[in-house]
Amino acid sequence: MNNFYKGMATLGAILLTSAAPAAFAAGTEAGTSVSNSIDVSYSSGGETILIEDADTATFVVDRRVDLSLEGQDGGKTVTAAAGANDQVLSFLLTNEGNDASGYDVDIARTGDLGLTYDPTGAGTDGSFYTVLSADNSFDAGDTVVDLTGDNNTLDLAADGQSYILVVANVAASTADGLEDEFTVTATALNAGTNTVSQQTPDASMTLAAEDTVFADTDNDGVESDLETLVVTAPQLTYSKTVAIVDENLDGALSAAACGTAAIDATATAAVPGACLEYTISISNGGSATSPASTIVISDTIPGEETFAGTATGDFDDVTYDAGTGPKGTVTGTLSTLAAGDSASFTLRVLVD
Amino acid sequence: MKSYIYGAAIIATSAFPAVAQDAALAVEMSVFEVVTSIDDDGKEIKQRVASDNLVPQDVVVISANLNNMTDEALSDITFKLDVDPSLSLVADSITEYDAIGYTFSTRQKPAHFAALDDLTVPSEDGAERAATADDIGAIQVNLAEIGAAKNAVFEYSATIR
Repeated sequence: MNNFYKGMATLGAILLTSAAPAAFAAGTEAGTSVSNSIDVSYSSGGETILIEDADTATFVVDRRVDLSLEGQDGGKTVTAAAGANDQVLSFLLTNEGNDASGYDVDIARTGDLGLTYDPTGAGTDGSFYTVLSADNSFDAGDTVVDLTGDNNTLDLAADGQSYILVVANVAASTADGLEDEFTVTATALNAGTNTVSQQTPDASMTLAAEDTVFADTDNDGVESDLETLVVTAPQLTYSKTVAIVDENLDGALSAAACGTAAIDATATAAVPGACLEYTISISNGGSATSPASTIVISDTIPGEETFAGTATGDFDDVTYDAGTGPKGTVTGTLSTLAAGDSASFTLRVLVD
Repeated sequence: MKSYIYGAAIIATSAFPAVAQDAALAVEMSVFEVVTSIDDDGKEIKQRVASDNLVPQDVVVISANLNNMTDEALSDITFKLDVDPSLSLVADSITEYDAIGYTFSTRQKPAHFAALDDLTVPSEDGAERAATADDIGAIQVNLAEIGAAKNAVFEYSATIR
């Protein structure tokens, strides 16, 4: 028996010098050799026999290829106003395997918004590009990445994560409700290479070697997810109508008087000297997903008319600038126009 | 979890497989995987298979087969099974069995073998806490006897970390 405990002490000394296993959430690192030995003692013929390390059950932990790719935005949808830049759709790629892995990340777009992929990240209107981010925050530290072609986009250590951000720049002229769907796909590669990981054939697997086993959703080393970018914009329509305030056949009505004169319902002739009233209107459709804001409407008075006055109507302000255009320019401003609402202002002129 | 412990009472008399041998006692260590499946009745079935594919979270059975190669009984058999640091002992894979006695040690050095309930380990805050199966680094087993030309098998289950 004493010899047995001496044997144990020796074994203990060996264990003290061995490295502790890596504490990966994804588990023991691939390639780790797991050994379970046995020391035995027994009595036979009056003698105590000790067998140290009588045998060992050993196996090598195989490489588990496992990954997840998840869109991070609520409802996997991002809304963006027409004209908005740097609209970000976020995907999180996680290496859930027990070994470093490379990934070929690809992106596909479909939809009527029709953004074009710009791998260089120039950020022009109507385009999108992709960046890698460590913290799910689009900022200057992110790296623009070209996801075209079959190649290694990035390597991740076991438990490693990276955000893949799709950065879109929506043209100002984009109509309300248009959308694009972005499908990001990650294919597991052997780390540091462009070689797609392959599961070790069953017939080739052994306990003594590091085999490769897929453990992702479809056991194929490929994961993807989809997010949608939806444009919200007002649905604006415009109109400009004219009414005759006074025919002013005797020429008695001055420009200043035209500006405040009551409308003569019987007037029908836009003869020289007549006082006219233009009504300039803007409407936001009832189904619009966004109000219109900071509305500015300019109307250039032609050379055959003379400015007589304005009425702000529903607008916040209407100004006249005599220095622009043949006979000046009238500008109406309105801070916001909700869906389903209309607003107008009026402009009066005398026909030259 | 099913217990895979078999004491000296379960003795095979068939010819022994080729094993690492000493003069009287041959010892063979093996590893199996425990695979869980559901049968047609929805019942959970656990089977051991000789798997060549072992990854984290798989449950393995470490089996020690002790063969008495002589025509005389061997007595006072004591053996110590190391539990690799990459394995976590399945708590209920070793159950009470009258014919044998066994104790555990944690991974602390020097090894101290005792009942699991009597073992402690340092916690992260420096205080001592009760050891769990996950802390076990070795199992020591005592058998009174292995009969002539008989064998004894001891097994435990563990999860690959």
